[in-house]
Amino acid sequence: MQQKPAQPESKSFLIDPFVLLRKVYDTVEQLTEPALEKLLTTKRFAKLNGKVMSAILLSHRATRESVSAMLHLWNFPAREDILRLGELTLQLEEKIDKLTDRIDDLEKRMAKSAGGQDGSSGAA
Amino acid sequence: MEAAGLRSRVAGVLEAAAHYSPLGQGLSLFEHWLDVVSTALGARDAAVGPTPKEVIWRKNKARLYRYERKTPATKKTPVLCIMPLINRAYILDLRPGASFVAYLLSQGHEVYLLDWGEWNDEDRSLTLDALLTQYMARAVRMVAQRASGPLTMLGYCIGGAMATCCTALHTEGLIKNLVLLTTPIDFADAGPFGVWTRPEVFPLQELTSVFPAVPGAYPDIGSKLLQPLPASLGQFVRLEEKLREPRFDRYGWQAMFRWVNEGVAFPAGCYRQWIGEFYQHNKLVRGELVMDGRKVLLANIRCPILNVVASSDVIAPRPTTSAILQHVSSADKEEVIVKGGHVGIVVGKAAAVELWPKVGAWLAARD
Repeated sequence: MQQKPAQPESKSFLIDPFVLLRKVYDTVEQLTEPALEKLLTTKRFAKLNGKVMSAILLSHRATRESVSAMLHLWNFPAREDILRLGELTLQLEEKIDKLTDRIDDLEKRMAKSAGGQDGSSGAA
Repeated sequence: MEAAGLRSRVAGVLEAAAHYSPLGQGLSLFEHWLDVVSTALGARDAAVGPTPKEVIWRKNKARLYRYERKTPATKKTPVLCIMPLINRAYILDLRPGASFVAYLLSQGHEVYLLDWGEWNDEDRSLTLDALLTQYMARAVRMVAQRASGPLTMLGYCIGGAMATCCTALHTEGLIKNLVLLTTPIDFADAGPFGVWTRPEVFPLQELTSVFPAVPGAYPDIGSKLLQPLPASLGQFVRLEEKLREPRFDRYGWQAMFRWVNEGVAFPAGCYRQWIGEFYQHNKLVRGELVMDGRKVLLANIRCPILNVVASSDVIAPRPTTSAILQHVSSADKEEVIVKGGHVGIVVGKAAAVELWPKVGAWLAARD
């Protein structure tokens, strides 16, 4: 996208709403931001924030439980069932990784012991 | 000739009318407004992560990348970058000219990056212990094996805290240097986040039981609340202003806007541990943090350590980030204070002239 040159404000017939908005915003920010930042770091705000979050979370839980109960009633898998399946897949992946680690470890040990045997027979 | 002259005169008059009449000005204002909207809305498609890379190992959603070099490495110690859990990994390779990864490659290092990917609900039982032992430890071994020697671990934000824990637990000598970028370690005075997450007010158990993966929007709202107006309406007001400047880097703004607003979900198990053990109980500096059945003791860190702190960091304030050097046993330890914010020091305009050369020189001296 090409940048367009700024319009010379002296030749404007209309008030530039963006300049107006910027001025309003800057004034509001200058007046309110320090007080707002101070308020947001108070223990009182932290307590209120916690209560609001708890209320939102309760509503989420209620919705989730209702949907889950409804799906189970119709013999459909709910979110929890699919999650369990996903978790089992991840556990399987971890088991495979552990086996791979053990095989790598065994290979290293075998290579080391084979190297040691060669060295000893050569010396003999 | 006359017709052509007349046409050009009419065109000139029309152009002048468009320029000076209220209608013409209205049209330019409308065009400018469209520009602001399209820049902001187009940010989600901003091109990011320009440096070519290959996946050398993967597990679950995590990927270990090796960035491609055009020439053989001139430094023997590779750099492994550990990223924060709640952000996208491309911040270290944001755009051409704003890529820390590209800088490290230009300095002759092999660069690897552990990208955690996008966690989902099925990852709810993942803990930081698991990430450390099943993911990071394997990534470290893999990089060290490829380099046939130890590596430099570079952690950013939460990734830095995890890199610190990993270095404290790793005694096999695979980690040669540790570089921390804006990494919170001591949470005794953690600023607003510390106040909001206090055990008596923060519903940690409810949050992690309702959300198997805590949505990225939650930590994001917290970050925005630190500077409510500038982080919300203010960013668009500033965008409008900057779009009038002919040299404004629109694509740079879009890439940054995309990263800031593209948080990833935090697995519930990790979140519980991060907030509970780090923020609420400050177990890491107290020497009480147990991971994988072992105590994470910062005093076990003996490798050279570079701690990069941002002067005006509101996300990880100075008291949280400066503390590490008092607790490690390293003889070679250094703190660098860079002017800027939590993210700005890594990819901002000053990063290329201030932070990157400092880290580059520090690494070169310890290669």
